[in-house]
Amino acid sequence: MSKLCYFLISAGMLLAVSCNNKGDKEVMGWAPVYASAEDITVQNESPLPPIENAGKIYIRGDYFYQVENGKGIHVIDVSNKEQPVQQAFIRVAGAQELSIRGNNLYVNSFNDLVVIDISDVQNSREVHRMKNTFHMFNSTTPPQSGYFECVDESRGTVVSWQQKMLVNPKCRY
Amino acid sequence: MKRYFYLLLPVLMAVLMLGCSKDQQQDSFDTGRTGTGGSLARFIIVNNYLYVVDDQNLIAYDITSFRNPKEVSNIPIGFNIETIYNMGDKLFIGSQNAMYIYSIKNPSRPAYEASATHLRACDPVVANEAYAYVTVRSSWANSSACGGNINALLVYDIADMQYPRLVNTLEMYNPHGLALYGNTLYVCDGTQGLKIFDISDTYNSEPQYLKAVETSDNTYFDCIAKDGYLYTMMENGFVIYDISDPHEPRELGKILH
Repeated sequence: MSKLCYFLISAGMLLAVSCNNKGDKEVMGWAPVYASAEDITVQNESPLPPIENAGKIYIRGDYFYQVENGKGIHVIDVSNKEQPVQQAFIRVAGAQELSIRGNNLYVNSFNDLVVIDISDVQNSREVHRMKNTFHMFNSTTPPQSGYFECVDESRGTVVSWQQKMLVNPKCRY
Repeated sequence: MKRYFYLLLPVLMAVLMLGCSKDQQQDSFDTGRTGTGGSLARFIIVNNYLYVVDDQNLIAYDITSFRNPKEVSNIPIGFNIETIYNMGDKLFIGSQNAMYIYSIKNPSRPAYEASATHLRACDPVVANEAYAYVTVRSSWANSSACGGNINALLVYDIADMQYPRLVNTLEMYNPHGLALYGNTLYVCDGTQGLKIFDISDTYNSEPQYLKAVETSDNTYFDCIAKDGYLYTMMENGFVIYDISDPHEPRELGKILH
């Protein structure tokens, strides 16, 4: 066959291959990471996890509290200041802030205000939750501008954002 | 005998009621004691109210009923709001380009009093009757996006609360949170340690630098000074210091990962 034929056939095959791709747009962007309702329930954790992502601090009487950023609250017995002892860890997804009054600990769980009964610190329980009452965490748009996978609330609570290759993203920030 | 019985009956009933409705009684026997957070906090409780700042707003919740917070006001303040602090009937709010002062004389309706802007940087605030102390911190390679290029301790004269005046700027390294303890000011200057200033001379607005304390090559982010102890928030945990002599913190216990 002539060189022209070879060329035409190759070009044709190339075209066919690219046409099958249907012009998919692939771009680096952000995608929400979801958690189920179970994942974000408030509960004590045992064994006690170490302090790793050390967050904000709070002192009241003989107890010292330190947030584990985004995960919960370490409760530490400081009745002996020379020997602090970890007493409990209260898992609170999205935790960053806390304040205490009486036996009630106020904490954010992403954008919810949660009230936790800490009268028995090793058996803490959520007693109230005000959903989406403030904007501490961006649960609808990603950390940076650009394309992102649209938030689908039916998939659960948005707990963080990750960067990934998106195919035909429909949302842009 | 009958007389005594009628006397005893109400007492018995009270005791029974106490025992039965434990949950409700929790709140009324609860002394309602609050604790103390650091200068980086976005939550603060003052009497019956929880005040929260998110990225743009100041929100007040009535927590008279401890377990049933009620939002009573929601005020837009500015942009990139970061911290909240209480002194008397005032709230001091730090953002990336200003310090705001709100009055909580009417606690359910915080009212704007004054603000002082500064070059773009991150900033917590603490204050006493005479001065407000603000650290401003600019962006570092692996810290949060503060922007700007200033790292300093700013001192504002707030004798007239409606007109805060910048009276001093002290250069710092990478300052984060701070704490006031009587006549001592503690500033967490990142990896340069816990810096201690004497502010006993109220006529001299410039804090007198004394020394820095460092613990095992760690980064100081925030601190709380309370009842003779200083609690510091570190990169991977916390340290407790004895500050019975506030100028000479003595390391006690710690948990550092």
